[in-house]
Amino acid sequence: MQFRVKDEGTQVHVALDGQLNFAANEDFQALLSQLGALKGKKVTFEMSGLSHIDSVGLGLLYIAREDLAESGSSISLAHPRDNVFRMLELTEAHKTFEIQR
Amino acid sequence: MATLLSSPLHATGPTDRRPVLVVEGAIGPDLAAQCRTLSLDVVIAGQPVPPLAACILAGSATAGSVRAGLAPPYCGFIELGPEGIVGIGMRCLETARAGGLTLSLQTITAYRLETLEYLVEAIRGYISEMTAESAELMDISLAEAISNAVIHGNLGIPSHLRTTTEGFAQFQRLLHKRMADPVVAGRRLEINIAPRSKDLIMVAVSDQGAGFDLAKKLEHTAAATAKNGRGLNLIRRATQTVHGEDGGRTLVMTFAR
Repeated sequence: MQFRVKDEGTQVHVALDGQLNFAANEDFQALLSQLGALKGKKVTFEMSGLSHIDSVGLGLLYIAREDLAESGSSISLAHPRDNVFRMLELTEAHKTFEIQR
Repeated sequence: MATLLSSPLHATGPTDRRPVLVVEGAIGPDLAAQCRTLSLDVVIAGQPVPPLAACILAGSATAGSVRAGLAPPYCGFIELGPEGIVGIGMRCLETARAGGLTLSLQTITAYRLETLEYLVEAIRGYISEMTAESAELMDISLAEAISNAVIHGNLGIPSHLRTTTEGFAQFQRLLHKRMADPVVAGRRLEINIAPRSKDLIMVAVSDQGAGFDLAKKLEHTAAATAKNGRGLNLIRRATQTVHGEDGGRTLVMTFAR
């Protein structure tokens, strides 16, 4: 998985590419460190470049959500592909995350 | 590439084919002996193969070689480890014999390569008449099953570590430590895909870990905001049927076409 972070004042866009899965570890650790410095931001994970996600990857999104909430930031997920959205539905993640289609 | 006298994947004739290992380069005496023990034919790429051969490409695993093995004229790929094919599951050969698609990789390879991508690509070519919805559910389940087999099965890492940022860092340290152990990193991840009937496709994902009690795990339902523990329930929701074999080391899933 690769990511790009674009800070636009109160809004932060994080574009994810590739697979967010069990092998995405180091990359996501770096992302968590970067997001840990944010305060009171609205963070959007742009997911259109994400080809697959598994429950390990989803767990990482929950960790990011919790970390961001602690620093007064919020998280939303944008434009997941059909298979990724289906996975989010099957795991009921759509009840926790705001998802823009 | 082997000279094929029949198409192993798409022929509609007899399903009892003869698995043949096709090796790029020379066949060492150890590999030849291992194949004899398994009554498995082995040929150098480019040599003729017998009629009704189910050719499995074998060699070093790279993105190119795995992709090549998962596409016609081959019916799968087996990574040759430091000890050749020692440790491969007989299910791989049975799948090839039955006209299915097989993949056997070492854990470290499955972790490094885009294993899921190659399989998804191959499945689209292999099962052309599958509906888009079934294919989507198969992708989701396969991703989950591979993740479970690698992390919990072969590497023996518990999922409870990944609940906080610090736990996640600990999880990574443990993962690297286990991957540095050649015995653990050399454990195999095997994926076998074959028609179960005219309406169902079977996908089996096997590891060489300690196994687990699938029925007991399925009783556990993760909370909506839990950071782990939702994998098997996701598989249960996405499949027609799911059950464990080999003491929980093989997850057998079926999907509607």
